Amino acid sequence: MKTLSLYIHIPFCNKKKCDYCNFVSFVDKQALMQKYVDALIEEIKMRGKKEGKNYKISSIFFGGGTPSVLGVGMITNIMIALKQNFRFLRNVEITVECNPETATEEKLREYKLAGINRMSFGVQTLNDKILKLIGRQHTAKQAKEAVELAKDVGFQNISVDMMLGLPGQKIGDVKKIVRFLVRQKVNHVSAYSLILEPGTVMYDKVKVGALKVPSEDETVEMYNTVYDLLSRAGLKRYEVSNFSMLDYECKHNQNYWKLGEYLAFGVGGHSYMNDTRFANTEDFDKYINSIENDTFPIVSVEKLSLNMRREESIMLGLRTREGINIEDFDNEYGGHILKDKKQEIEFLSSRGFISLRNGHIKVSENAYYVLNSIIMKLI
Amino acid sequence: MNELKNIRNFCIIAHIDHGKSTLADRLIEKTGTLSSRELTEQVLDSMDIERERGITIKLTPTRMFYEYNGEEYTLNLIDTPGHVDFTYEVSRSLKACEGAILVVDATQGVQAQTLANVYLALENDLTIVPVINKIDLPSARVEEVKKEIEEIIGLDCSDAPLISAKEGINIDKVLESIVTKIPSPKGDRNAPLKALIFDSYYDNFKGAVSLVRVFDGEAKTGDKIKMMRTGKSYDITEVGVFCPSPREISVLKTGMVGYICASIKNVSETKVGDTITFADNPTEHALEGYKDVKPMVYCGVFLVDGARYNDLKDALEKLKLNDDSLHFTPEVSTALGYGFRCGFLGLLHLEIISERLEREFNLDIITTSPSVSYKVFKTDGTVQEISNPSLWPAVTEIKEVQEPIASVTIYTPPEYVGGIMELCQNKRGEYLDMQYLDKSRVMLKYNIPLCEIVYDFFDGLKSRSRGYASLDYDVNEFKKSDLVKLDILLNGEKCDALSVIVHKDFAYSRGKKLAEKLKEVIPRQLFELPIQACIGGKVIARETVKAMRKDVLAKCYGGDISRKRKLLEKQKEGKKRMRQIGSVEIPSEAFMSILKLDD
Repeated sequence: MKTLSLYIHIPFCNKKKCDYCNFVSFVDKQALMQKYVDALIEEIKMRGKKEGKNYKISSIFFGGGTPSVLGVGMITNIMIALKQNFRFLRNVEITVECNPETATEEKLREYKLAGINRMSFGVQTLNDKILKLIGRQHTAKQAKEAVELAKDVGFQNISVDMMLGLPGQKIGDVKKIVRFLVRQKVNHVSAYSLILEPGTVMYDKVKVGALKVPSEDETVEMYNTVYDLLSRAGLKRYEVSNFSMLDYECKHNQNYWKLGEYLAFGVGGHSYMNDTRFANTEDFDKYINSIENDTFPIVSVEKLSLNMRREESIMLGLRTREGINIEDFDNEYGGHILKDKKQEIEFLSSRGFISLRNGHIKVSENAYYVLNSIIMKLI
Repeated sequence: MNELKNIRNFCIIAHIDHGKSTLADRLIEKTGTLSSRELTEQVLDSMDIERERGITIKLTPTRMFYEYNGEEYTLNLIDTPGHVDFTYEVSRSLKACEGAILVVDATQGVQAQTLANVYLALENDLTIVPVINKIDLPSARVEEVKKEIEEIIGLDCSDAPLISAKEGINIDKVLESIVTKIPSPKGDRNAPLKALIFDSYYDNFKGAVSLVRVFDGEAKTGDKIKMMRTGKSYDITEVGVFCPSPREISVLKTGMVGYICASIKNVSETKVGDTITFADNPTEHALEGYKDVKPMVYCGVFLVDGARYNDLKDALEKLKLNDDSLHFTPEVSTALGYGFRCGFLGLLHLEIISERLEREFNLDIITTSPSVSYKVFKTDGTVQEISNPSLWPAVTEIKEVQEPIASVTIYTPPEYVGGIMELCQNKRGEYLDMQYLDKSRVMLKYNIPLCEIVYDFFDGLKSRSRGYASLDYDVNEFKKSDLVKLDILLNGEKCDALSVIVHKDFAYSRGKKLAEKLKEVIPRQLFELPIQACIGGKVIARETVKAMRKDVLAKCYGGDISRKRKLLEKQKEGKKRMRQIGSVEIPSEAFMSILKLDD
């Protein structure tokens, strides 16, 4: 039976959105949380009726926004709906994203009981000055306590998000957080470099010169530091921005990178099924209304052509340690990539950007930083 | 009314911005040829580029009626383009007139263009009526400027109309002067037709339309005519005058200005300066002064999106319909793909054509560095005219190279003379003469290689004189010169589009400048990229673009792969605009910034 990943979008944030974030989230709709959760459960039922029998669920991810701002019991109710409407694989991975300031013992215990088996904390940095500068709501102390609390409650699979290239960030700051993570034996780390998205507070601040971000070279140095320290501690880079202990790779993300199928619930959720990508409305009220009228709140549908899938499979496959399986790739999309892209592959491999080993095309460790340029040559 | 004595053919000459077009508009308005409402519409109809730059490219003749002392006069205004690139066209327009109104800005005085055109007018025996414009401005110095005109040009300014074209002050005085001072045309009505083509344009329905001044005889529909230079014959299908839009009339008589249509397919058959006469009963001698206009400046024109080659070809052909001075031949560049080598009258002409290609035909073009045409004497005894650096022969095949030399006249306030002389010297100028025309004006004469003028002379002149100096030039000889081809190598591969011909003494500094500029504009590649400037096999300058450290490490949250996908699409779009030279990718924009004229 086919497997499927589920994504649940929780579009609420505590007091304010972070200055760099442009995902769908609201700070003024706290009063509507219950209404939203009801709608989510309804959407899960609607989808369950359609697809519940055809798939087994391999992973579930509560993302946001900030899922941990939901009131006590809400995650549990969503989990119950999921279990009633879909069949889970025995080793299903279920993650909740959590911001340190919202992580209470009560909530973490609730998650554990509800079947959540993986916690992902948005820590970003342990420098209080920078945390404030980028509009985060928590302190370094709160972040440390949250991770410790999760361990105490009994979560074994803990992931921490950190960011590189933040305003005012130095190599020393990066070392500080990585050392903490290693000490705590956190078994999964996502290290993302800051992307200035138009329309965010930070984009404007950097543009007018109110904030300065580290240079290209400095950010690369930070990545190298993260890589060195984590790999020494046994966390291997299995994707551009992701590091983990053996067998603690994030199944949910791996499914995305393999062009696996997934369904997303909630405002602004993007799903991918039967070679088709479709997206829910980003409008909160429209989402609720649509569900209340028993119709899917889908606003865009795109059937991917073979060529688009081919390109995406290169784009996503090269992000991973595994790389592109040449035989599988040729079978799926036709042609012979080694022949079709002979010149480019020779160029890239002779310069050490990629390697061809065991029937896979892989990006070399130190070439991840120029991944986009490599992708552009191969598509 | 068609009596010769009641016709006045005149033009207006002025330096750029001295108010020629405004005065022309006022005359048209004052004589009631067009109402001010129609006038605005008419102005709006002309080319955008002309209006934006405040210069006139196309010649638009206009017939006006004016009553003076109870008699009605036909005034034919023949407009002239006010730029050095179009000197020949100006001279032909002047030939069609008996007089010229000289407009001088009361705040600026006599400028190079003013003088150049005055001399042209005097050569054509025109009566010159000085008019002092912009007297309404607080900075106007009427008496000084009058004196300047009298001293420099030798024209009596005692009763020159003092006007403000903008405010409509004293326009009547100008019209009066036209009638009383400019002589009426002369000619023999009974002689065979003799008409001068001073301009032509292409009309989709009528074919090539010749704008003419009739010197002898008359022309009407059905007459069999002959172009005396090309020798081709045609039947006249229509004659008419401009009011200012074309209006058909029955006969175009001696002394008149108008147009002749004869189902001519191409403006290359209606050459400016040619004489139209009867095919069966021709006039004895063609009018003097005809020149076959040759391009002075060349450059390659390529496309950002190479797939639109045919659109570029169509666009150039369409422009050529109306502009015989535009030359083009197909060219292939390893760096820029398929394009055309184009020849222009000068830098302004080049810029105008480039802008029209972009605006009117919606093409994103890349133009290579402008060059001139060299005479290359080869060791095998042959002589080649070469305007394209990529066709330059190997050093061993060259016996001697000759380059076109411009005789340059510069007018400047005295305080800038030092700087300008230094500039001319730096540009391999040969000093000829210097005259203090008055307290505030110096005339410098130099011989300067045309390629130096085409390179960046204008900018240098502008910055050294804070914009006060003006320039006029004419090319009339070729001289032996020590020229070499400077190549640019990217990652060891020659980039033909960046090759230039330079004087040996400048090769080093030019090569260094180019390499430095390239370093600035070429984005980091996946590898370290050496940029070399070479002559023959010898590297004379080198820069390095460091390898890229990091490109966008995009996140991939929440299954929102479509966000990543968008980024990919954007990059793919960007790749289309990339030019590939060996393993180096260069955005077209980078090329443009290197090749821009003002580098």
